[in-house]
Amino acid sequence: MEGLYAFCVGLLTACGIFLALRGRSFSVVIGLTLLSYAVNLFLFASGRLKLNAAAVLGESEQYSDPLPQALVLTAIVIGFAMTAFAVILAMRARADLGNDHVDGTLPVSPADTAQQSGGNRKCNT
Amino acid sequence: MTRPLDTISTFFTENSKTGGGGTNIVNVILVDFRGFDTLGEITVLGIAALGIYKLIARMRLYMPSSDDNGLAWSEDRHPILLAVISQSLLPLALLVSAYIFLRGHNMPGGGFIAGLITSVAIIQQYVAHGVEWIKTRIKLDYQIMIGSGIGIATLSGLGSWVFGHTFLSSWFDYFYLPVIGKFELASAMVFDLGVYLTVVGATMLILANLGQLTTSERPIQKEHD
Repeated sequence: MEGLYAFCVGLLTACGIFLALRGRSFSVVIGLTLLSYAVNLFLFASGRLKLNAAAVLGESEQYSDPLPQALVLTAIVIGFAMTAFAVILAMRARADLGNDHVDGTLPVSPADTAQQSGGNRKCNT
Repeated sequence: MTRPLDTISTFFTENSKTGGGGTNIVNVILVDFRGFDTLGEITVLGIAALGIYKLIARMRLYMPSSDDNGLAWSEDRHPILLAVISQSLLPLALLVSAYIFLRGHNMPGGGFIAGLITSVAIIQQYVAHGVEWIKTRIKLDYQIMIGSGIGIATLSGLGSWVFGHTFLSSWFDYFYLPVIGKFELASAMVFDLGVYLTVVGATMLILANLGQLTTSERPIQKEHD
């Protein structure tokens, strides 16, 4: 179980970093979300993974570590607030600048021009 | 995972029932042992919601209501089936959120989850009926809701000073009523109510304003093609 869990956290982190380095604000937001999920899962796992050990007194014979769970719950809510803020920031930039590139302007190198305008037209319809 | 498990959480496990008065250790940590964390967290949530509210103000995004051939995406913007079902589910959802809120101290549940359930129920109404329909019926000011939530949580912490305890120490006792039987009252419940109000207010302030962002009018400024 630990191996699978570690693999999933690693995969989430990899996807998150890859998406956060993209040029469009939408994928950056998704990347930040995936990264915060990965960090939350990582923190959660610091209390050991146990089966049938809910942190509720009288429910089971042994209890999992309640402290990381409480800390992760706080982190999830803050991550939720951060994600919402990042989404709105990206939308505000899209509304004010007219494009969704993280630099504020679309790259205009000659090689890109044909490709960019083609991609853009598809988005706008 | 090969190192010996050395944790400070045995303190919380041992003192959860005797010191905090609840069997759900995670919830007792959140509202009692580490209540200051939660107070800071709902403050962050409230600030983020207000920041988003200001960012959204007077911003309009163009959303086409028809495709290239001039055909509307949907003839019926608010389908009656969805409207009727979501409206009849609203009281049930509020009941579930009240139940989840009340059992929070001893079983999985609490202010956060109850707040989110309430928000989902109200958002469902927005989706089914549209913003204008809701505005005339639900007259809740979400900013005041956030403020009162954080205020209630802070006051419940300050209240312990009156009885000579430190900030945010909680009190609980057991009472008996003829029909209901034995039940528990805790000051952490007031704190949880503050958390609940803040979560509902912040979520609704964000999502309800996000929902009325789009306009079907084409922007005057041309896109960079």
